[in-house]
Amino acid sequence: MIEVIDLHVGFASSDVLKGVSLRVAQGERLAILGGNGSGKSTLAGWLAGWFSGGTHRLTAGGCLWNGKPWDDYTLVERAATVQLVGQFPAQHISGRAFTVAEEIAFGPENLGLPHEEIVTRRDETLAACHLEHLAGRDPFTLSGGEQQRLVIASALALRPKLMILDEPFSNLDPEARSHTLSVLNALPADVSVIIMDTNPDTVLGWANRLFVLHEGKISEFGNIRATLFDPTVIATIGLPAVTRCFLEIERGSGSAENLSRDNLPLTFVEAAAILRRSRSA
Amino acid sequence: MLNSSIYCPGESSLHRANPLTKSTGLFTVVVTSFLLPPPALWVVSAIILLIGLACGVGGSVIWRYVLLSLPFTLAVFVFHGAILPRSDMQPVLGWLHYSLTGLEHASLVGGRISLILASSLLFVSTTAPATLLRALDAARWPPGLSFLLASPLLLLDQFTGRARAISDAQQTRGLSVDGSPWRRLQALRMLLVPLLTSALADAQERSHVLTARGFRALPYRTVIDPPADTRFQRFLRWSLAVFMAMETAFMVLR
Repeated sequence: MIEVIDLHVGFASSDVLKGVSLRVAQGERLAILGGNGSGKSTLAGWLAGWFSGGTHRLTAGGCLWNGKPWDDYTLVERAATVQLVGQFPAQHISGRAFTVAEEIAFGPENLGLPHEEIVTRRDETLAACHLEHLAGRDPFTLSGGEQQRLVIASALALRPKLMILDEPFSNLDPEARSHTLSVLNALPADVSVIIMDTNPDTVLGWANRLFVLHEGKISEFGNIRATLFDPTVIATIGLPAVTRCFLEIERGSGSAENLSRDNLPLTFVEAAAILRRSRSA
Repeated sequence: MLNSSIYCPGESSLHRANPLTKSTGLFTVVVTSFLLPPPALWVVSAIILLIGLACGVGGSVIWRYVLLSLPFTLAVFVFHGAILPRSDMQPVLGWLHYSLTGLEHASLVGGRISLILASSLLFVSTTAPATLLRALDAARWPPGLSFLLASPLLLLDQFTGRARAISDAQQTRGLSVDGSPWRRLQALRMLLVPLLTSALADAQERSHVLTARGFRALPYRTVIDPPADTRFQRFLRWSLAVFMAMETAFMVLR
């Protein structure tokens, strides 16, 4: 699958990525957390093969898909392999389609797929992303959240093997956020998904691996819990809201369970389980 | 619905015609306008406006036709008929003179513009931009060409909205857009810089998106609902193309 080897990338006079190495296997759900300016968008662009000939300067290392750099693949192969959804959805609308339905069909039409295949993909994606009622609307007249769902739908219509989402939840309300996660969860098991985000709350419970990108360097500390409780990570990203809440309760009054970094809840599901046990005790 | 499109939906035969047939017809009218004498130019313009009425787009076409052609036609007649010095200038009243050959020339130039304008307005009022793009794709024209046609229509409203937002934001921070011309020019500079830089950033990002979605990866695109085409329309297009070639040859050789 995709492998990033000691990637060093500069932009203008500064180094954005400083030796990032990463390997994502088929079907993995991976989250990369980082603060603003940590290099998430640049890494996302390189993972998707967007910057190989652009303004970002590669100083060392590279990115390989099944052992070959993106430049070795044709545009059709790349489009059917990797899709990147950016954080500003209006920039990711093609500017070639007059309706939402046309925007979703745009990619498959470019690949010269058979007529029936395109219609099937378009209709399935419209339904999966709850966009049927907007099918005839001009993409640029949609709200930010609707545009974000449209961009995700347009990427999914290409049935990529790797989906990269750069802060995909920034324009979404909580319901749309949870729906988008369920759409990502419903993807075939062999599709790898990488989400870049600033907030651990949205990706915990979804990701099966967690990385932290800080000042252009990427780290993984054994498992998700170890990563989140690393002092540097706490300082830059902070703990999940539910974890912070339990820490406050623990400091204030104590609880039925002895909570430590090994059993503090990271998600609402874990928190609910602790509260149930506490109540029954 | 797009604000920048002047397409008026309808069910007339012109609405239903394949956009390639209509565009070939439009080009034929444009070429023919260089061969017709002035009276015929105005008569054909009137016929085209009547066709617009029959197709249910008359109001939109005539209103825009008058709005666009009237100032130009008046200017052409005044300039060629009364201002540009000619050998046959005749006095009318006091300092006002006119030239008959100047008026004839103005009628020719104005008539051409009138005919091209009327036929273009009829074309865009009866052709949905999306249908035109699908027709071009179905005819396997280069995808880049259809993007050139579509993107200004689609992105113009977005660009206008952003310009307005930047202007509002700058004004809330104290930028004055009123006052002397110099002050307005200064304000324009303050608005243009963020507008252009954001447009450039958008363009770069959008080019990545288009590449990532396989745009122009192949020399053609699949079209899932191509506009209806008939053998007769194909025959008509070829006939008009041959007619245009003959007209062009005639103009060059005469």
